[in-house]
Amino acid sequence: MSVEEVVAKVFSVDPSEITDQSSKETIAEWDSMGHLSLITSLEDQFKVSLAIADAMEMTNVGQIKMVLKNYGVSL
Amino acid sequence: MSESRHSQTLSHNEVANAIDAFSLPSELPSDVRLRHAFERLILTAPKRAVEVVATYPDQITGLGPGIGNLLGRVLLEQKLLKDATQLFELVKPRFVTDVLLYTRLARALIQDENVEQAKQVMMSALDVDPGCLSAIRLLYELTVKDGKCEDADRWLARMAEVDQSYTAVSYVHKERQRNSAGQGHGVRIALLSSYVLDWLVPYLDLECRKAGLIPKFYQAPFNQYTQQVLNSESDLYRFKPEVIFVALGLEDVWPQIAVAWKEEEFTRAREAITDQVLGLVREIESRSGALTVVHSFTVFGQEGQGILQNRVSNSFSKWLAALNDNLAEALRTHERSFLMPLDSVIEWVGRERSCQAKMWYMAGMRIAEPALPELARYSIRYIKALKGLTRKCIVLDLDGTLWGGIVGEVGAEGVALGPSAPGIEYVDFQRALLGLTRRGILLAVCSKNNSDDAMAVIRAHPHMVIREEQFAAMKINWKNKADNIREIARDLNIGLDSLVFIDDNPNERELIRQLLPEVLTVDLPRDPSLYRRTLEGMTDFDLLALTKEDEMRAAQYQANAKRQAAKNAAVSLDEYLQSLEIRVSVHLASREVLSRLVQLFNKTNQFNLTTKRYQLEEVAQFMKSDDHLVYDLYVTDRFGDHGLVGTAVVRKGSDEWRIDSLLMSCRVMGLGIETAFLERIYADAVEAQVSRLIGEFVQSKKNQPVKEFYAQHGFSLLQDTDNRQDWVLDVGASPVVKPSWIQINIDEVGL
Repeated sequence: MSVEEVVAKVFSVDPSEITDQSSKETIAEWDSMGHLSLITSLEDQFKVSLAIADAMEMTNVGQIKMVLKNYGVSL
Repeated sequence: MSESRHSQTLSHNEVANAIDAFSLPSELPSDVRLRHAFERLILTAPKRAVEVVATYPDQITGLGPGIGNLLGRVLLEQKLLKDATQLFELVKPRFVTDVLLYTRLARALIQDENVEQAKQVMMSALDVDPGCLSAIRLLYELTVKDGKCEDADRWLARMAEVDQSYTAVSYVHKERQRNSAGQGHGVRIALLSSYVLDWLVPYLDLECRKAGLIPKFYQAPFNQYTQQVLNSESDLYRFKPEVIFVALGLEDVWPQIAVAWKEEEFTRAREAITDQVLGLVREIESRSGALTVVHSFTVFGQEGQGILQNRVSNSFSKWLAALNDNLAEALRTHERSFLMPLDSVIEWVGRERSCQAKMWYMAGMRIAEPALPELARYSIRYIKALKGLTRKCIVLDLDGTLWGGIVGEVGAEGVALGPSAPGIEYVDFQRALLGLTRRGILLAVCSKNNSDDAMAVIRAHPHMVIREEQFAAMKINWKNKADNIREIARDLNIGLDSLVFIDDNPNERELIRQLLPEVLTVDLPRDPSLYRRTLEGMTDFDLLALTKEDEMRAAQYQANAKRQAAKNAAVSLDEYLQSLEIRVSVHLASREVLSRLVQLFNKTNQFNLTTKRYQLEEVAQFMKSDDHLVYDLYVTDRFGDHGLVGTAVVRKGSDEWRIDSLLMSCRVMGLGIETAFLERIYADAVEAQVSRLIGEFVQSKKNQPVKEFYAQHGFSLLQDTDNRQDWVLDVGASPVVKPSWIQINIDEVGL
């Protein structure tokens, strides 16, 4: 699954609607609890464990990709 | 199309023609040729491709689902909605298998205001994938728009069934709060915790609604549970909770906790924490009548002693177990407060998944998302028990349910039942069922079989666990199961809404679901290895207190069967009643029987004159008060001891007594026992020299059988408003006299 697909699945939206700019502001279900769900799903999907400081920086899809790259995930 | 792209396409075409010329298509295998040809057609003329699918469905679908999805995607990209709709509906099993495409098509159709067609497309998506969340969600949204609240709620329920993730469940929760649809009794639930437990609310909401309850929640602000408990005027008490869950983290109540303590430090901490929790519980009990459920303590980390933990006396894990034991022991005498075994939830789900350190550090969440469904299921047991939603009897099929195979075909020796598989699954399932009888749950059989064939297994099979005498009722015949189940309910004198039906045959289940919706029909999995777990996952068999009557119940129902046989043998009804040798004793109730009385108040439906659902503290209050009398009623007969089966509350005035409540278990209805009970109340009224006895009657859905109770005992109607009547009897003028076949235990008479 791609980052977009994970985000889409967690918040049950169409993956085609997800862009790098998708964030808490553009997706209704992406609240603070939704964020924790997202972190768990990303960790499961990409087999990484994200430091809390990094997890908190993942405020939009572009940021998520950047952080994941820092963990050596090839996207 | 722009000029440059046009020329690009042209050059591609030229290249393609050149390649075609080399590849000698006629020499390719025929299915590859067909695939190439069809793919080309999809890209050049997708509309025509749909026609081709319609004309040659077998050949084209034989190419596999990938190509259907490709065609679907192309049609959608070119906004050919009509053709797409036609394609998506065309072949079964569906040619297009990517459910995302269905959702996109439906959304596009909705934009074109073609809602009906969109619904159709979503139903097709559910054909492809019954768990397709986006389809269910879209169907829900459309149904809500149509104003069909009940149907919409069903879609929400289905959504939560297919996806237990927090986002799905919390969406369902929010929508349900908004719709305020659904009927049912309310329940008020408060959560007090030292850590973030907000996530539990949607899951608990879901379980409540499954049980037919509409919950309201109160959550104390983060880490303010102590203030909320100590202040009588706090939001907690103003909320008037019926159930309070108290969830405390060990490190939150005792931050100086360290696994490297010396033994005396461990002891001191254990005592201090126990005192702290008990203190909270007592404060709650003094200010609220709510049922208080305290989570037991658990930890994230591991023992510091490693493999020595069972050799040393100051092991941390032993200390933790002792702490929880202490708390359980201390709370055992508190009728309204329970220690919930949190570890049994966590162990079931798996500690690694339930206790995720990062969720705790980052969000203060000690119980992680994967454990929440199970935690909610465990919590609902307390709520159901409090609300009297406990089921009393499990009706079981035989073939394929209690043993493998069909006894009528393979004979008693041939059924799968024994110490190895196949067979051990059924033995173990029977063990679990028998375990439930210790809580007073009854077992009954309803099977389509020749009685002799089935009884041969039940009586004589060496590995049968549940024997004839452990079944309270048996219907083994060829009649339809709905009739048989109705008879079982009648024989046992319990409501259909007290029954659970377990059958491996989906057709029988569907029949009972449709004809007897009050019965809880269990979705038994196809795999018998899952039977035991399915039973143990049910939350319908819990009681807040196990009374002597619960433990005796199975024996009592077997005695009932004998009574029934005696009735059939007796020459006249009078002779039969005489032969029963019924003995009744009535006392002013004492505190020892309090929990049984509360159980009666909350479970008795039919023989209940006012159906007032008194809770523990109210009954206790009546017992203490000088203005009230609380009676209990015990019955025995030739066949056995019925135990404590009735109670009444009388409000004493200076000149008149009012019978506020009078109720009796329906197991002893129709024997004149109620008259003996009333005779005692009447006798006490005579002795107290009051002039009038008032009997209250409040009609409910279920107490039709006692509508005429006061009229039958010489009372006359005084007042009749709505569903409430007052009946009056002049004390001294028309005495109440018990039937001749009932003996009163002499030593009990008198105030």
